[in-house]
Amino acid sequence: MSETVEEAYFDAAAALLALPVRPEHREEALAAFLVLAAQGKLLAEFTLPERVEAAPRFVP
Amino acid sequence: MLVRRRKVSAAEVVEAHIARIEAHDGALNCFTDRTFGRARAEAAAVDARIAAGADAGPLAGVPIAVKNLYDVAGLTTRAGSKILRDRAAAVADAPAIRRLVDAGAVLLGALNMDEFAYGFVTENAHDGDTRNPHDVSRIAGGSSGGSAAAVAAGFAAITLGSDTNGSIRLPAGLCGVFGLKPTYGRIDRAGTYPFVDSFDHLGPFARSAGDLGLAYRLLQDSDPAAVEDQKIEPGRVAVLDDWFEQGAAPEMLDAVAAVARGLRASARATLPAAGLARAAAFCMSAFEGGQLHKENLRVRPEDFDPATRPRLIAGALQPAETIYRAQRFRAWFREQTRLVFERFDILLAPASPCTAPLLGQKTMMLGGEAVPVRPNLGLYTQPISFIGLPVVTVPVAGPGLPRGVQVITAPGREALGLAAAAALERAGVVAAPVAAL
Repeated sequence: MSETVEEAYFDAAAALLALPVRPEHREEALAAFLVLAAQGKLLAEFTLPERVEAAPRFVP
Repeated sequence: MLVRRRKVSAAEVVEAHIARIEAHDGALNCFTDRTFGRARAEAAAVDARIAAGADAGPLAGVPIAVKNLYDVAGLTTRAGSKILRDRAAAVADAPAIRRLVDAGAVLLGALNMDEFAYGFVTENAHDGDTRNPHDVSRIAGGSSGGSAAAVAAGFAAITLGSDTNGSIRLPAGLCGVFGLKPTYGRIDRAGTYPFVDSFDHLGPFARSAGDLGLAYRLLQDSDPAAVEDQKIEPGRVAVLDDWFEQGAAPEMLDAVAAVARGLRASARATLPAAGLARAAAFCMSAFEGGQLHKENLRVRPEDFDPATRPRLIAGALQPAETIYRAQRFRAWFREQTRLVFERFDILLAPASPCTAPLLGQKTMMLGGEAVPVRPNLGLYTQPISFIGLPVVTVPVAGPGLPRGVQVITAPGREALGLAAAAALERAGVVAAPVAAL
């Protein structure tokens, strides 16, 4: 079976970020990643006004 | 109060609590560390001060205990983990503990929690499960499960916990006690082990609104929390709808309705896109937690709780874009909520979608659909801590399993939430009786 985009990202990110996932931990970690990816997709689909900033404001 | 009036000695109070813990904690598993020697010494010091005619403090002889992510002098701060157990013992109490002990409290020990505070169940692979004092076949909630259960069981009058996504509010509701998650940043987190810097809060549990408020006043300096000065206007109290009703069990909606009636409120309000606030909190928590533990995930992953490890690994590997979007969404959601607070002072919502699930239960029904228990218990708490709002969880009186309701106020308005809790308590709408063990 071919690898999904999410699986390919998961493995590449683990290598790039120097967080190797042991084979016995991969299935559960990937499942958790897919749950997070679904939540992240919801955020990506929501259009925020252009001027909303992530930066904190320091009010004197 | 009885100790200060010399009706009973602090030594007698502490011995009664130690006896109750020794008789019943084997069944509940609240305590991971017992500091009975220290408690006896602190009680003796309180009695000595009273005998000398000195002021022994507003908490004279009051037994307390803390979630085991607080530093306690002489104990290793384990934060529910195996990994931190290798570390040296703390050399000093966390400032929050120090404040209560300086006010006369006696510390009985440290309490069980989900590993690294990442959970809602307090089913801990290293220290065992904490059981709900009202039904030992059920969970206490988490991650401050030991703290909530210890108060419900009558092991301590006040305990301390932490709340990142619901970890005070949820177990308080499931165990039938009062819990306060103050405004983000209100209580100094020094001397406690973190989880998610963006959302971590400290706060107390108690069996009365008065005790909860007293603990809160002692835990910080910036808010006198003058409950008596607060005016609750029924027209400015609203039940949150939309996300905060979807999937909730009927008995939880009944609990919210009971609190609304108690405050003579009939309005409804909507926090726009609250489900996305939950999604954003979910992603940011996993990300920040994953970053915090990345080195240990790399070198000793086998030492993590199997329930925690996959979520931390996955969290650390998320795309940066997701976290950036979540942060931008937080700014937007905070502003939308501020607009709602222009019309209302108090917002009401269930503390959990259902009453306490069974220990080990994997799925629960949510709006007719079977969903996993662990990630879904915090559906109604996560959007609120996401923007740091203060919340008092109140335990609704009645037969059956405990049901908690969140009394949510604008940033900095803890006193109003505490006043509402006290009014509901006087009216008999909410109550936190000691569980029959």
